[in-house]
Amino acid sequence: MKFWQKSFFCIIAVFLLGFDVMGYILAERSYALNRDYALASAEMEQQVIQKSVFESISLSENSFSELNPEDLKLIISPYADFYRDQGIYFQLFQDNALVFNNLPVAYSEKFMLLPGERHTGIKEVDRKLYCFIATYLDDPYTNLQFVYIRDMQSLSQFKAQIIQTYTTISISVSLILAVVMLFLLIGLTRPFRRLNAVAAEISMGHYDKRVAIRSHDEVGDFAKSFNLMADHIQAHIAELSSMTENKQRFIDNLSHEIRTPLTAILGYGELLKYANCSEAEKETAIDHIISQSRRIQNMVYKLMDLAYMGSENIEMRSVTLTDLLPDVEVALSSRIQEKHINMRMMVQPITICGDTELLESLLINLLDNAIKASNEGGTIEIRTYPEAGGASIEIIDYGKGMDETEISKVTEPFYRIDKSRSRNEGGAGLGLTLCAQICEIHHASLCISSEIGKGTAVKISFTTL
Amino acid sequence: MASILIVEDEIAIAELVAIHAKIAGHQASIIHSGNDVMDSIREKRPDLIVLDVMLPGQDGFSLMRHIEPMGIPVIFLTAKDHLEDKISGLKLGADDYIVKPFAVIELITRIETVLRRYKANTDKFVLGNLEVRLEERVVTLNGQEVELTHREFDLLQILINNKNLALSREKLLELAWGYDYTGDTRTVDVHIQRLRKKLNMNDSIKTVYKLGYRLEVPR
Repeated sequence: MKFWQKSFFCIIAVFLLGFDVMGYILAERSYALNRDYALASAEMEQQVIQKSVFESISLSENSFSELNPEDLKLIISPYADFYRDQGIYFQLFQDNALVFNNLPVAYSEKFMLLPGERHTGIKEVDRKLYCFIATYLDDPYTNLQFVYIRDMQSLSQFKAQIIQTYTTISISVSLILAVVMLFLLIGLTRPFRRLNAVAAEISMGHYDKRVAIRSHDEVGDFAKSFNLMADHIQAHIAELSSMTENKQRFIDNLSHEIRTPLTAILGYGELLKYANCSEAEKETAIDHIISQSRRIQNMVYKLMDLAYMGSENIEMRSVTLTDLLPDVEVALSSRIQEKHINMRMMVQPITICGDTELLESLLINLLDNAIKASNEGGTIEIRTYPEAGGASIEIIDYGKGMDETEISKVTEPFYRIDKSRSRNEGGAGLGLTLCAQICEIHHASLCISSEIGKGTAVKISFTTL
Repeated sequence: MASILIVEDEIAIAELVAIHAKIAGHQASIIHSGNDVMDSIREKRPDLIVLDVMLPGQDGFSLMRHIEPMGIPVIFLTAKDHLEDKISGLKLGADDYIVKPFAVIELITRIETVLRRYKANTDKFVLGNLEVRLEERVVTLNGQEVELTHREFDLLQILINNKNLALSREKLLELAWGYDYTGDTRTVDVHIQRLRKKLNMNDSIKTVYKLGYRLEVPR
């Protein structure tokens, strides 16, 4: 059952109960007052009539020597005839014998009373209410019991009328209340339904949905908190999905990058095993197996470096960057000589805080890229110099260069400028990704500027001295 | 003999496919960039194209739209193994789709199948005095017809399809007798002996030590 329905039924039930209990009490009270008043007036009337009857009897006693039932009947008859029209009847008992009774229903009752005592009571006879008031007459007629009976039908009618009126009022007020309550409750709970609808939408994955409730009550506060929560969830989900997307892209690329050399190695291996190939073909096969294996090896090393950086157990020490340069040059000396590259060093000693191996890997990757981009007999410049708030190293080549869109993509994993050339030279497409990661760990900024046909300058600014 | 154009930017893979195509007795030429493909097709009129999907320049799928109306069979070669890539490749009219890493024997088999479907390959195999008409399943030696059992002919056909490649006894058993055959690999030896004897192929069907058998054909 909905909240507004529950509230509706609860309020209607409480109202009806309260209203009806109150009505019942009021009706009872008013009935009791009415009855008491009616009884009091009946008692008074009875006294008057009794007195009259007593006097009539005492007067007649003078004329009749003895009271016999016939005489008594004669005395009381005129009273009875007179009062009958007002709904008042009499009964007279002499000792225990009923002398007179003009009650329209066949009923008589003699009450057990002491002299001077009065009985007042209401009794239902033949589905009609009667008020019985009984007394013994005063001395010397104490053997005569006079019973005054009054028709109380109007009293019971009054009660029925009160109940009927009250029921009518109760029903009509309840109906009006129900209609008003219905509108009120539906109106008051509308914000909750809107909240619920939005929550349902969000749970279906529409994280951009928000609640438009601007009231200044609890519901408004709740809506505000709810929207805040939805903002956080949306931001979080977006972050998560972009992370998953990046990871997925990385894995897709990686599997693609590994498949190709694997296919080649497998294929050439099978060729050597199963085919009767010529010496030249064998030579080609072995060359390809070696170069493709090297490609995988290269990739594995770089992936391991990336994983190492992900593990976050890197120790930062004071490193004189310029001391690393000779080692870097030696590592790439064969390539430098092959292409007859002219190395120009403009080096001022700089010391930074970092990991020696990672920094070496960074420099080797950057220099390797510069060599790849350079033309035969080209020049590569390496400059190091202190700067305000840190130190910088620049590696500049005067080779092929690249355009703006390429610069923005070079640090993406497996992105290559010249796809086939780089791969066939054994490139993994991870070099600059690695460089960017190393820079991030060292809180250094990596800035690439380049122009097609003129060359590329890579500048790394270290801030941690 | 068919002429095969290999479009693949990875030199190692391109040469691998080319060497195998040559071993199988075909002519092969290699192109590395997607942009040169259409010129090369017009010039060389290849019987079949092995086309990499991810190429520098125009990619394989967009090239396929130009190649399809020319009626030249195409086998896609790709590292993308998602089903939707496969479906879109085949929908564009490719005859087959092979995913890296692949075994080269598989690629060669598919090339042969596609060539046979297009009848670009002569269904006649000649080696010295031996002539095998694959379609009619007729073998003649010195002009004389030689009776071969079904199994013997199947075995001979498999050796011809994979000429110059060594096939293990297990592989031969699987290809000629089927996966569910429970026999011994000795069965293969017995059938090879019979082929050698009937067709005088002692020199051309070589036993490769520790491997199996290879039909050697001058290249």
